[in-house]
Amino acid sequence: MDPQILAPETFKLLGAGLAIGLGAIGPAIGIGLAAAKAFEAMGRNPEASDNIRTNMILAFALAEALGIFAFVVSILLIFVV
Amino acid sequence: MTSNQISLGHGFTGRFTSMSQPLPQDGDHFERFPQVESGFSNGGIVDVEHLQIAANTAHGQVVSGEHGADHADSGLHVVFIPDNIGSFLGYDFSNTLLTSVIASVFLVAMAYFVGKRITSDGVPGKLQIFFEGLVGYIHDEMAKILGNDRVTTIAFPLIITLFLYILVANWIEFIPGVGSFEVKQELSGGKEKILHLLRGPNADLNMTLALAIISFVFIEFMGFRTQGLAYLKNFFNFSSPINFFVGLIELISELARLISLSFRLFGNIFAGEIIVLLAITLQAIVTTWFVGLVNIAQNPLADFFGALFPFPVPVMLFEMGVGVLQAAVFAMLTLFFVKQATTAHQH
Repeated sequence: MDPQILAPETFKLLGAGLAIGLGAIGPAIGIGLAAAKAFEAMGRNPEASDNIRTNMILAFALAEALGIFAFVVSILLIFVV
Repeated sequence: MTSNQISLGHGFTGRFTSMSQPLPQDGDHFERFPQVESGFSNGGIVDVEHLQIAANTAHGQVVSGEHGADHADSGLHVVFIPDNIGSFLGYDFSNTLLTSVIASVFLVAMAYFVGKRITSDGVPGKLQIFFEGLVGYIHDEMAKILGNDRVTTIAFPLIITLFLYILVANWIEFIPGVGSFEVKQELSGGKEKILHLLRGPNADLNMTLALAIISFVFIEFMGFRTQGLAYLKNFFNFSSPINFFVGLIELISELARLISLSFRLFGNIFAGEIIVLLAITLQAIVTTWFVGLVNIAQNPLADFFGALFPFPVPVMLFEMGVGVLQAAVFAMLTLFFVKQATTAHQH
């Protein structure tokens, strides 16, 4: 086996990839569910669309924050560690 | 086959950072790169430095121009920390800061220009109708969400400024030529470094963190202004153990906004720059496949192919959409948090 494969940098990059890759799963599911339910609600009650849309974006932001933390970990692994 | 070549037939092999050789110091931007004889016919070999020069000339934002300097041995080099292009009153002045100053000057000039032409007693022109419609629409939407006229009056200028400023800052890097200006910086030992003069401000974490701090301070200010010291009860509540821990979680999530607001904007814009860089790299690779010559930087046929199939253009269009979306998201989140802070807690 090439000894370079076991270099610390390998695991650093692997960890960065895993961090953002796995960390994006949860927010993706969360945002998908939020959007699905919001669109369903808009279809049932089009008059409330504006209200639902604004709350939907807030829900997106809260779910997305976790993905952003994964991104921060990934950035830290690549550029700082 | 020299060591600074990568095989395209089996995908990218090897590590980018260990593939290229130090570049010659003399000559101009193009002629500095060594000619490589092997082309597509010779096993699909592309010189990494030609990919780099293609990326450099088309979009100078992400690839560093530090040829011949201390980073001479890197291929595709993504710059995380913006370059210092000089100093102003003893402080370092980075290229992102310069671009953000240009964005500010543009907005101020626009406000002056539009404000001068607005009449309240004459017939309004197209410009006035457009801007009044835009500002009025945003004001009405905000008033609907906040449901409090006094808070709306205070929060409206900041939130529309955040939106317009982030929008202009995101779009300014898509003006042709913004990535093309370069400055030379003398290093110790007679070396020189080529830096880019302009770079998208929100691809710099300092910028987005500053915006997030402004937003955070404003949210807390609005909370204290409407609720007084009772606002602190949301975070430090000793009435029961459960309320205490709920308050603690509220406090942590309040502080986490600084991270999430700044990194959301930064991550989207920075990742957008990297995606544009990758599209340009793909352009170089595919051009080399079709044109069949290695030195694509000097080949007119490569220019022709690039004009026919510009891969970065749809990507840039998408990034412009991301730019307006992220500006809207930043402004709207500030608005929601202001609403949260100004609405009394129901307990």
